[in-house]
Amino acid sequence: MDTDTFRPLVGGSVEEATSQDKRKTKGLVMAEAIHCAIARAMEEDSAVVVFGEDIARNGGVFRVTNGLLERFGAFRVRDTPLSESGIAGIAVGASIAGLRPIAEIQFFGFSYSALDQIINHVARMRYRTRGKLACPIVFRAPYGAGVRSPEHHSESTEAIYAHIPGLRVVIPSTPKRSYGLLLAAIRCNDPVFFLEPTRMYREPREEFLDDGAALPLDTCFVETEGNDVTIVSWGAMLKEVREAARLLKEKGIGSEVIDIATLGATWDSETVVRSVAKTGKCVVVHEAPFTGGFGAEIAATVSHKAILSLFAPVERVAGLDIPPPYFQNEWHYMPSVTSVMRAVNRTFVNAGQGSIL
Amino acid sequence: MTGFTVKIPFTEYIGSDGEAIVSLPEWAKNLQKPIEMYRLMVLVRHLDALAVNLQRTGQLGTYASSLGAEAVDTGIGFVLKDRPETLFTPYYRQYAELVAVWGAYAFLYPLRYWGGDERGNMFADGKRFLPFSVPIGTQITHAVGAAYARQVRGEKGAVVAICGDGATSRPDFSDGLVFAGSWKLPVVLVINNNQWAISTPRSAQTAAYMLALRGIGYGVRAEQCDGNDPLAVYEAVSNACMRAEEGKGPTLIEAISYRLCNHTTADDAKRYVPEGELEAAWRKEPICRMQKFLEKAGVWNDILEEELLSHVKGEVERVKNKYLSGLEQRPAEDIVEHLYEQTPSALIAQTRWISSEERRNSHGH
Repeated sequence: MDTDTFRPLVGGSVEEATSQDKRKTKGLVMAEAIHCAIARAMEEDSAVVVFGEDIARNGGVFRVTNGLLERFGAFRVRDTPLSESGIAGIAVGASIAGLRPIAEIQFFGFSYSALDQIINHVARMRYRTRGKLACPIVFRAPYGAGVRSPEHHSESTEAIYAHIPGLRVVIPSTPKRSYGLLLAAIRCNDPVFFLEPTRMYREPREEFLDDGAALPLDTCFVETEGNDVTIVSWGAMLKEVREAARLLKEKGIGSEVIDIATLGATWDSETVVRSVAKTGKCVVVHEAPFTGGFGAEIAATVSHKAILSLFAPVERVAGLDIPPPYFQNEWHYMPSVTSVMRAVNRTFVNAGQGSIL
Repeated sequence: MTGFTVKIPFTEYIGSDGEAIVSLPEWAKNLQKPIEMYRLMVLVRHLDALAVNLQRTGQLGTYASSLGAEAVDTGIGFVLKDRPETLFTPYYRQYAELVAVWGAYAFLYPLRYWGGDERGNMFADGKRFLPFSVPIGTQITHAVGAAYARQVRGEKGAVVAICGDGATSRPDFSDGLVFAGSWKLPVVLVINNNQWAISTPRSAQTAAYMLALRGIGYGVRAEQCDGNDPLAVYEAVSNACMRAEEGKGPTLIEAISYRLCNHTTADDAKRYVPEGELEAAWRKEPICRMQKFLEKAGVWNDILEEELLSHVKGEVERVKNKYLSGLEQRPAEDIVEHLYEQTPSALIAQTRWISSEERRNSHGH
């Protein structure tokens, strides 16, 4: 995978790495990259702590936190009792009292009992105290389907969290982006829910520097530039989108692939609108169910701000409006390369440019 | 076959008739602190009455009175005063703690809070106080998390949380005790068992024989005290803080009191409180018994009472005038400020949705 194609567009700043810190990696998968980011953050700032179920001695069920206990000790790397609502409540108190908690939720589908604390306190502590107190917490969870998990382990309900004022939902789609965005989330003084696409944990591998450089939040990543269609996505669906872009390129069609990365009220709409002003056609792809998904927010904004540039309605390719089915059916409910290609085709047909398939 | 017996200590000093039941603790023997406690309880009751009055005359929003809780809040308040490294996490009915630490003008914060201005929460400095917490019981895990932070950083000072009897049914009560017990955290959780959760009586809230017993289930040291006696509350809470600071872990304290008021000014307790129960509770209330006790001890009389009431009325009047004179108006853009550390421009742009008339009329009270 060519790392040169993954570069952030304008907006936000990427911290300069010092020469002492440049540690080249051998090529890491996302789970390892996330581990590096957490370890670096804990090394740099003694206020950073990690807690969650089975994260200390067991190193996390995906081994992301493996080895941190030995390195940083049992106070800063702590196994919690079995309660997500407790994990969230503890994180609130700990963050107000000066720690920077990285609170792991074992699977995104188990986060809902934490919603009370997250909506009612985490996201609004700064607001209700006029800035006197805040919750610099990072919640982390594996999310999404495609790894043949049991029921409830494949949720993609990020739209619920993206809807909460004061909260950012940050979703990486490459190892390098997971490293840089997680560092940004940890250093950010606002709360972040960091969602880690489960089926991207172990592949692909990517080389990058473990140099402590953060990537910007609230910024889209334009992966490929193109003039013919804008394809917007986040998380594991980028795998299908990248493949579709490759197939389209073979047909002579240039797609501008955009990874949103930060969801919520602070999302970078300008980059997407600017892209659609160029291409006139937009397809949004997400794994989450269609209705009320964050794709609806993107489609509404694009339809509003780029209406005069659009040659076709904004297409949304999304999960069916069902809970993630048991894994025998999971590939039928998620978008596929084919469904993305069909959506792109619809934009060409609606634009009067004829079918591309 | 083995079993075990549990002993739940009960701390009390002054009975409802003003007689000392047992000898006073050392710190109370010269009666100086009990007199100060009495003075604080009287002041807070009058401030509280001011707030209810302001609500009834349309100058305050819905308000949660602390009538009947003066001893619980004063006992805790004096612990906070004497142990300034202690952090306190209230729910939404705790005022004497603020006044104990910062004086009568601290009541302006609750007035502004119930008056609909976020600046009412700014008493919360993260070191001595967390803000009011409306979602029931959620402050308990906040307290436990703050105690964890103190443990990690090796910082001195316990964290005192308070919750109601209703809150003991909430998941946060369980979460808090599970984490505090499991991690042996320096937390003191006080249950203000005032017998009512809006209209749900204590007996309907849980089949538990005694709320304090629930602590035993979580492996947390548990005790009870007379919530109408500020000396008992002070003794129980300060001892628990000392144990916490010595690394001996958390304590659950059930303070038995009675809610002498409506749940809030939007509630009408006459609809559900059984006939005669309120009158019986008034005979046990904290201020009357403290007055009797101090009079019998020869350190209080009608003249001192008159002086106190005159002083209190003056304080209340000053607080009222300060509240009614209002805070500085906030610009319309302030409504989107302080949500993020840096307000996104997209959010500021949304304030254009507020009409210029609404901007002109934005209140500061």
